[in-house]
Amino acid sequence: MNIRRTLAFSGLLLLFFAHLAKAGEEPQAGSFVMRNMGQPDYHPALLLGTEVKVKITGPIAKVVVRQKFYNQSSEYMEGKYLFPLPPQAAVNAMVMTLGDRVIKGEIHEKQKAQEIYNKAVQQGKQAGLVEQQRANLFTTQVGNIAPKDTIIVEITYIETLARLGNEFSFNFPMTLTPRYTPQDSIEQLNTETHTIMNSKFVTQKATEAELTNLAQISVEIAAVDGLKNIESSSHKINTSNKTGNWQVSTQDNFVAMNRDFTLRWKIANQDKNSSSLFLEKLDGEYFGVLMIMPPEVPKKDSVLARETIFIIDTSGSMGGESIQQAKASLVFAINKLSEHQRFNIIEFNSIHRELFTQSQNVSFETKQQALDFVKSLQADGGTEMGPALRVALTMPTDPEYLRQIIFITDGAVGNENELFNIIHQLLGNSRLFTVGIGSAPNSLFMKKAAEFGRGTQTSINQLDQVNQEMTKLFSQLEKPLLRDIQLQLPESIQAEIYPQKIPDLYAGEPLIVSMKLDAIPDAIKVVGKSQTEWTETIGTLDDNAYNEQNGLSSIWARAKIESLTDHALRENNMEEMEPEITKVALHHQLVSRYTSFVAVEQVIKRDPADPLKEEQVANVLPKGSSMNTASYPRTAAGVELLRLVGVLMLMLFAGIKWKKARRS
Amino acid sequence: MTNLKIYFSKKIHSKMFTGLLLTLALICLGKSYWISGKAVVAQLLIANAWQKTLETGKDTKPWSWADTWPVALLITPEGEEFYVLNSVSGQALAFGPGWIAQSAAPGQQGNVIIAAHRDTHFQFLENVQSNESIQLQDRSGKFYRYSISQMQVVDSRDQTIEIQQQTAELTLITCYPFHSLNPGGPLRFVVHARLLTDELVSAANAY
Repeated sequence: MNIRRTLAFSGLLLLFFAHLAKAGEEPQAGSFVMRNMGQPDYHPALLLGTEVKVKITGPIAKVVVRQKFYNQSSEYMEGKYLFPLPPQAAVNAMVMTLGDRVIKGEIHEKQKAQEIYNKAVQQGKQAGLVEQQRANLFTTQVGNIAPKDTIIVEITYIETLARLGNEFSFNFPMTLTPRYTPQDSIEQLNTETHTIMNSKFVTQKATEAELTNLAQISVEIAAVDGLKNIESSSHKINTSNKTGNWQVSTQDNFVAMNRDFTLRWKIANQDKNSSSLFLEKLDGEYFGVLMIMPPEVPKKDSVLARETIFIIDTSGSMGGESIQQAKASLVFAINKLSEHQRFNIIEFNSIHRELFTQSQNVSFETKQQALDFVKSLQADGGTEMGPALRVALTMPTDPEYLRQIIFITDGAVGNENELFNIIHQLLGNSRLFTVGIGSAPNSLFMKKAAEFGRGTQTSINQLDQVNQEMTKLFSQLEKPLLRDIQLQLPESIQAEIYPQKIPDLYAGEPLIVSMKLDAIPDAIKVVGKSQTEWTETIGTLDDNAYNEQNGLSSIWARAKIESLTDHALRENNMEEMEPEITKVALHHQLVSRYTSFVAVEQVIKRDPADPLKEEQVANVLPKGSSMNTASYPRTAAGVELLRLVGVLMLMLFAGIKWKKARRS
Repeated sequence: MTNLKIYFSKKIHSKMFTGLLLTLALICLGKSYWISGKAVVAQLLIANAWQKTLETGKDTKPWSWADTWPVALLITPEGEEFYVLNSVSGQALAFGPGWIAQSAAPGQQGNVIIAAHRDTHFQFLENVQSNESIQLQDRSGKFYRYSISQMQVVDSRDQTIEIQQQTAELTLITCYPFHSLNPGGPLRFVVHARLLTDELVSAANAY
């Protein structure tokens, strides 16, 4: 009797508590507990206007970016602006304009440039500083802008253009990458994690495409045979053709910097696609950019035989959405495999497991086995990537088959360098392609692993992108045209060529190689392997033809810095590489992670006793994505519930015992 | 005789019942202390990993089979220290506060977003006040001081976490209400803190 009553009572008590807890939650949704008030509306003191002038000659673009900082306040201002440039941009000049005074920026080691700038600003002199913060993020800082006055900082960069078939494209980034992946921070490697925004600057909330931060863009494309179809998918443009060259400008005189500016155009289809060489003579040295064109439209039989090995990451970090994306990609890939091919799948987490001990020919049966294998995959455990990569790279192989390894992962690893080393040492004739999965894959790992693996990288952030992105990757994989590409020069010529390992050539996608030569060879021979040996000879002109300064030396130096950085990344010795990179950057006047441009006007503008205010110029939010969001994680371990139930049961137990004791 | 039987069976039943009750009570309590204990002990192990990260600049796993590693140190207004892990997965949150990987890194432009369980590491959020300061140490050893500007309760069913890249901010997230018995509740307590300008305090005067 007693027991039953106690039971009923305790049950009621539990219900009551649970109900109480629930009732406590409901009414407070979305309500503010507290809020700091009394912050006045904030108006920016600094306005920024950007003027972009682009000159395109062949595959080279020279871009001049003029940033005008206007101080509309009545005090002296110091401004800082964070902006993106294309990842391969070689920033090789900076000029500061104050009214009619023009001051050329000097290149210095980063630390020294900062000292020069800070000292000048303290003394009341007007100064400008351009620094590289990450591979594609730069800052401009200007000090002592007088009230109602303007300082203009002009930055010049050179880049090679992307080309696909007979179509060229140019891209000018105008807003910060919407998705910021913090894993990039390891890109800064040894460099003391340099906070991009010095904390003394008052940061501003980004505005949605308002009247601040406008840009003016104009592009000139040098006349080329059959140039046509100049289009922009980002902006409405006007084109005109005076003096043979094409002039392109945006229809709106000023455009909001809320999306990148893109431009595409076509050149005439040549009957015979031949590679082209551009050279620049500078201080007795020759700098060249060689564009290697795919030999011809591939016939069926010129396509190389392939062996495809998929490596799929099934570690715990791939759990949830990521593993689904990865599995969908893999299923898509398996279905796409064609006969006369071989394939295999390796999954790894704490351990690795292969589908077949050796790659198998594609058949209905093997495909079915593969699909069953994929179905069984679950994300769990650690991330031991090294052994899986090693197995894939060292599996017995037939030299007739081109081995392509497709690596599907989120790259959540802490030992990148070790992995880069494995790829570097064991790659041989294999090619490694990375497929980055999830909303924030380790992009540095994805990019560099693919580069070291002489393949390409693909990223899939959402399930609905799987088809599109994997189709793109597969059309690339299907048509490798040439491999083991090498440049042959006469032995008397000293040459330094980047990238040192020339990637494979795929149909429709030319390769760009930069080189430094001590003399002009009669011809450059390009040798590669398809079904048979393939060679192409590119003739050169005489010395005088290459006097025009077109920035090819900057492109070469930029490629060298990239190569040095990659090497350091692989060997994990950034410190050792710093002097070498600094030397190249200083010699070629390039902004790099170790060098910056600084310009100082010697006249003292502001009495150092007068105050100086700092402000960061706001960036406009990317169009469409007003804010990035993430969903809330579960943040209760359930300790209290467990404890309460435990204590209640203990009390009940004690109560029964006590009653019994009293009765007897 | 029958009375005796009933008496015995009743006695056995009641013995079984109380025994079961005691076992269950101990299991519940044990589990709750196991969770709390794990949260505390893991932090001690992670402390070593963080030291190593500061020395070498490399991600260091606190134990060899760990799927997570510390990316920052968080110091509460009361001076309590928590090592922040690189993920907000259930596994990671059992060991320490987790940093939402799409958000900014400490001290950088944008908001650093850190979440933890309301009944383990982020218990202290229940008592924080506006303008109190919270510090973060990044992997290079630098300290950043943030000042609490706003606290808010949101419903995770119809709101998401805003990730912005413009203002240097710290966002701390935990479940709400703090002493709710329902561990899967939809409400979240969100604390916003602003990076204090000129407060790049060195390790020396941080304490």
